[in-house]
Amino acid sequence: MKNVLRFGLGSALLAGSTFLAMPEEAVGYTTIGGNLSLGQRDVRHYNTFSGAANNNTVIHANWPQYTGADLSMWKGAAEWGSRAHGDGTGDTTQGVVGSGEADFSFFWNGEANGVGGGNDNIISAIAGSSGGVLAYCETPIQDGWRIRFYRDAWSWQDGPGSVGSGIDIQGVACHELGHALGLGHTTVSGSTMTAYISGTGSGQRSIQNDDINGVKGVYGNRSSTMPSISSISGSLVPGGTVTITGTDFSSSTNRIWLQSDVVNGNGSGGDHVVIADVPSTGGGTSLSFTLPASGWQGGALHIKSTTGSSHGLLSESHPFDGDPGGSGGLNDTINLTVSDSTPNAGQSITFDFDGASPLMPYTIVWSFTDESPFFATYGGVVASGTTTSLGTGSKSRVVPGGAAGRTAYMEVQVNGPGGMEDSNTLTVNVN
Amino acid sequence: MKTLRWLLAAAFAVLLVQGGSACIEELTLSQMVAKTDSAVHGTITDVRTVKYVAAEDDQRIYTILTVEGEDLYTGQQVSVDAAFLGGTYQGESMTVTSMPAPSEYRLGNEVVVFRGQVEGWGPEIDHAVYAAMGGIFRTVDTKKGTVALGKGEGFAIDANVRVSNLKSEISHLQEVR
Repeated sequence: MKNVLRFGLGSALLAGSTFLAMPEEAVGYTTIGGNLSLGQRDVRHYNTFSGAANNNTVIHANWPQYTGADLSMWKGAAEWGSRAHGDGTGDTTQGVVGSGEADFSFFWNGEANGVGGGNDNIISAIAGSSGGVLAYCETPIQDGWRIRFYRDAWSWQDGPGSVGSGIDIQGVACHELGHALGLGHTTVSGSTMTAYISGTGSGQRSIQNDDINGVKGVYGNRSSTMPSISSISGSLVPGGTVTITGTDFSSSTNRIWLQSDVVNGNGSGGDHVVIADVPSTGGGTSLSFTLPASGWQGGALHIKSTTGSSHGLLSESHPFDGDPGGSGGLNDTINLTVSDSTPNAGQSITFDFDGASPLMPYTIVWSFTDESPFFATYGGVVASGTTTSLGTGSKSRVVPGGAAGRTAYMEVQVNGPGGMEDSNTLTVNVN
Repeated sequence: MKTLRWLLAAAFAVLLVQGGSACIEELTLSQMVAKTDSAVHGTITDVRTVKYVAAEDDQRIYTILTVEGEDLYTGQQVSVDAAFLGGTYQGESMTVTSMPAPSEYRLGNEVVVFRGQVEGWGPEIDHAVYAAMGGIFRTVDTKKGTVALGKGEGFAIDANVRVSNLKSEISHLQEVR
């Protein structure tokens, strides 16, 4: 009995102190401490998934320019958003994507090309045995986070519909991003933030009341003056004029957040492109701006109503099907890289790409137009071939002697089963 | 008896609050037994960390526990190692949401640890605490025997259970298999 008493008293003291320290809401959600500042809202994905984990090729208008595992990650992040992402559609397993109702939204910044450090806000896969863990998030989060999925240990699925077998990437991403924003586990059954997934985990795609209370607890209820985007129209190409309608834009200090075209594995690639001090009209319901010539990519867009660090200044995310590659308006679903972006004339450089439809004819085209963004009409064919069964390709070519001192714009185009697919535009500055 | 029940519940509540964060699969005891090769009830006699560089930009810190006690699968006395990702090595920390709570793996703790084989965790590790925070359970001595503290819905030991009963249940599951 002594042992029991000793243990009991110790436990009681410990429990008592814990209960004293616990916030009232600890009955349900818990927190891990800290929150993400506006400068840490970026989410990127280093995509090394393949097969069923990366074979969704269906492009949805509400989620432009991303498919496969990338899209699963994006949706998992957007579910925590303050309001519906766009019109909220694109996931048949839940009514609306974007259910957080708090002063918080992640900022989808596309792909990365490496796992990054522990604070670079990149989701990636990790090889080897999982030891029974599906995925984890590296903390503390104040300076950023990193999420790793045990890729080889589980049968991952990228949906996009309900997943009948294996493990759903989107559901697990939504859970891990809940940790990234500051939540621990909950004891409320059916919530996204329970410690374990049930079945395939697709049920965790949709956050529940306890999760919503959690994100509100960390960031506060959605501000009544948070800007909101209802539509984006205009010419979504470099130099084009874009008009955004919505509510609660400031009169003269709005900031447009665009995705960066920097695809690296460290923090700088997570930085958004800002178009600053955009005035509004119509009592804060409309604004127009000119898209920069370069540096950005399509996907998602946010508006921050003014300078400052208040969580409530940043709008929800909205689909933005901009094409920095020119007026083609294609979807940039292919990832193109080059071995050397500052080669010498006469040097051999290698182009690699992935994310294309498998076994389809492709062309790599380029233009030496120094000022105009790339567009196939103005370029020449560098190489052509057939994509591999994994939707990849690789070609080496010698930089022409006449290219010295000039800038080239590259793009891959694939004649896919659903129509033309294209890549990001690659800029090569020839010495 | 009511006091004992309350005290165990309080301890259970502490574990829930302090438990680590992971995304693990839902595991019944049957599933846990199927996926592991031992479950050792005993004392943590060593806690150490190692650093493993899996790739140029991918350094990992693992915590390795040595547990001495009875293997509930075989009944034999054993001393075994089991690791999980995360820890502090020479002042450098890697904190991940899959880790058990520090209070669960302190030196001298009485625990039940489920172990599963792993590969690619470096030269010093061949077994993991299976499901990390989902594979380690504190035990406490009570008047009616030693009790493993359950962790709630979704965990292999969801509710408090006498270790003797746990051993019997495992034995039954092994016979069924």
